[in-house]
Amino acid sequence: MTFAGVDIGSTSTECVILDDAANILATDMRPTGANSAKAALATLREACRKAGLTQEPERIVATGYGRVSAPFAHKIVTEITCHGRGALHLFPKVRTVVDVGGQDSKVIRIGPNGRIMDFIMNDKCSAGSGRFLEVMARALEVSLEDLGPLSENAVQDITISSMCTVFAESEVISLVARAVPVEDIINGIHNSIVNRLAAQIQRMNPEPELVMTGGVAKNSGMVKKLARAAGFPVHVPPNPRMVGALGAALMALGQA
Amino acid sequence: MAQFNKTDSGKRLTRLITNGYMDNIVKAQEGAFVVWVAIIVPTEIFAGFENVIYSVPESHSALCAGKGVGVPLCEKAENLGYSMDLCSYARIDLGCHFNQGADSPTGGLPKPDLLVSNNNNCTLLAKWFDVYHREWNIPHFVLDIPFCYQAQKTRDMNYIVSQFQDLIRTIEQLSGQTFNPGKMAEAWNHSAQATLHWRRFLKASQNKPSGITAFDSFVQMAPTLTMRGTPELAEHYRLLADEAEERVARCEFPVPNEKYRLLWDNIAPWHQLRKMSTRLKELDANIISATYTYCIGSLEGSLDPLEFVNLSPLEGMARVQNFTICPHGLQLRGQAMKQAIEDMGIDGVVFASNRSCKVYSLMQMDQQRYIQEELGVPTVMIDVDHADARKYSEETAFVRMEALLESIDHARGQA
Repeated sequence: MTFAGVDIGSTSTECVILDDAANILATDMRPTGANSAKAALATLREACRKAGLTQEPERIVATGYGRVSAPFAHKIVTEITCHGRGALHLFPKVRTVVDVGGQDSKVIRIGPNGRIMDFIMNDKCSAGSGRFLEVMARALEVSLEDLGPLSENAVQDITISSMCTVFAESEVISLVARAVPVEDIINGIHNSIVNRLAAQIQRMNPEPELVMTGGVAKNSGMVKKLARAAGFPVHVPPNPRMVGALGAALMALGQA
Repeated sequence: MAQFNKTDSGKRLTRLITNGYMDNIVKAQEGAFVVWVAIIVPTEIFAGFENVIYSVPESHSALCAGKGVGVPLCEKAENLGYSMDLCSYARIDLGCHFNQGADSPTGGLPKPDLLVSNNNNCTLLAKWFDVYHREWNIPHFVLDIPFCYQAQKTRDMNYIVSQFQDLIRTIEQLSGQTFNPGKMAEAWNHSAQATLHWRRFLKASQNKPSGITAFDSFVQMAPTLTMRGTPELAEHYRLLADEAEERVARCEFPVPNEKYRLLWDNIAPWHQLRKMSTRLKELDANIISATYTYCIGSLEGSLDPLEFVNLSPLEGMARVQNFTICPHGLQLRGQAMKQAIEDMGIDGVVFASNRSCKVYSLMQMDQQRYIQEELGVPTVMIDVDHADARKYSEETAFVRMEALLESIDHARGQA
């Protein structure tokens, strides 16, 4: 028997297929684009094809912002629970998960039995999320993947004071106009996000050691800064964007 | 898709509200003295006059928002230069009345002869009425009501009563009418009756599953504001409570498979009532009650019915100025919410952070911590303006509310 988790996020859509011993048989990821239902179905089909399945998975759980646009799902679960489950599966001893996705950042506290004890999300706007970094990368004409390595070459500390994505973009453009090195600007952008995240983490009374999930965890500069700000080691799964879909697949397996 | 059917009380409410607004327009045209009031101003006083009527701009703004014209009216006020950061009720009202009642389902309110506000519930309201005071040259009477950190002191009660007496004299002078205290006392008795039936109606939420949703009680609050002191209101609430009790007896419930009993903290999200209640129903969740719906008639950290046996009508009205929530300090709010959670078997609390109502929202983070850490009840905070739909994102709110339901499952060990 096989089980599938589909995470339909604001930026990308992922699918994980598990066997009944929770081994990952296949994964797939693609941009969500304008049609989340289409992306969800496409990623599920492709993951099934990669896994060599001849029939539909026994049970499918959908999560993420587009969770309601997955009519094939047997159950929908929020990404808070799914990221918690996925992270716990990969790092059984860690109790605090920081997920920074396309338009949300959240800190999740997990109990020893795997239950979600508490969570906190960015409340007022999407500043501090993946989308914020995308906008800044575009303003700096730098690829998203290069943000992390470039920030590690920063020389001076720059403060980006605006929390609003649009205003922060103007601030970045004015720094570019003043010929401030790109590395320093990126470093400043990372600082502003990490400061927000660190405040969220503190409010959750975290236990030492964090897991960071979501696309932003691929940014090495951010991860290092977060570890420094939180004062704890930060673990990053090999594919942090897949953790929500993995959690969803585990939920599907658990409820079969 | 889950559907809620309009009850008999719902249909009766529509008639009452429509007639109320229309009657006011006709009476004003025939020469009645018109007062505009803030919601907690004791309107039973006006019943003591032969021909004084009143309108409630806050309630009218809520009606506009519920009918889907909140945003265009806010934009009209913003076009006049009013900041988007001001309360959306104020913006709707200014946008409507500086455009001759444009877009309002009632065509706006009859122009006032007197404005009466208070300063313990909403400080912005005194400034909002000041705009009309300046623009239309209409007298503005501001009741100075002490903020409430504990039970009202006799000194404060006397201070408030003396202002009510000033208000009566002011209306006598401006309208040329003579005040009749007996008629006011009659109105006060009708209000007391209405409150008791209102309590009986709200009590239907204690049943499991709940006999009502907070969305029912939100809309049924309107005549408390616009028809206070009338026998029609007492009768409407009697029928409303009877109907709720009968539905419970017949096992007819708004969310029959109720798995989650939620409490709402803040003003109703007027532009989302049907959408939000329907989507929650599909998740077997019911917001069964709200701190907001207790806001008239209950006092200082309690949700119990009023007992005014030893008080004169004016003293009773002075006590009601300390009604639950907005004029209250953190401790009293916590106490009232604790009682609601215990009495109604609440599984989780939705704190609706509302930029329009700073006084309601300001203490919510502390309150949330208290409920979560001291009482162990899961909570969530969402962002929703009560009347400006532009300051709400449905998916952002629902992912949080669904996560709250999952937290409740986790706490029950069901996930």
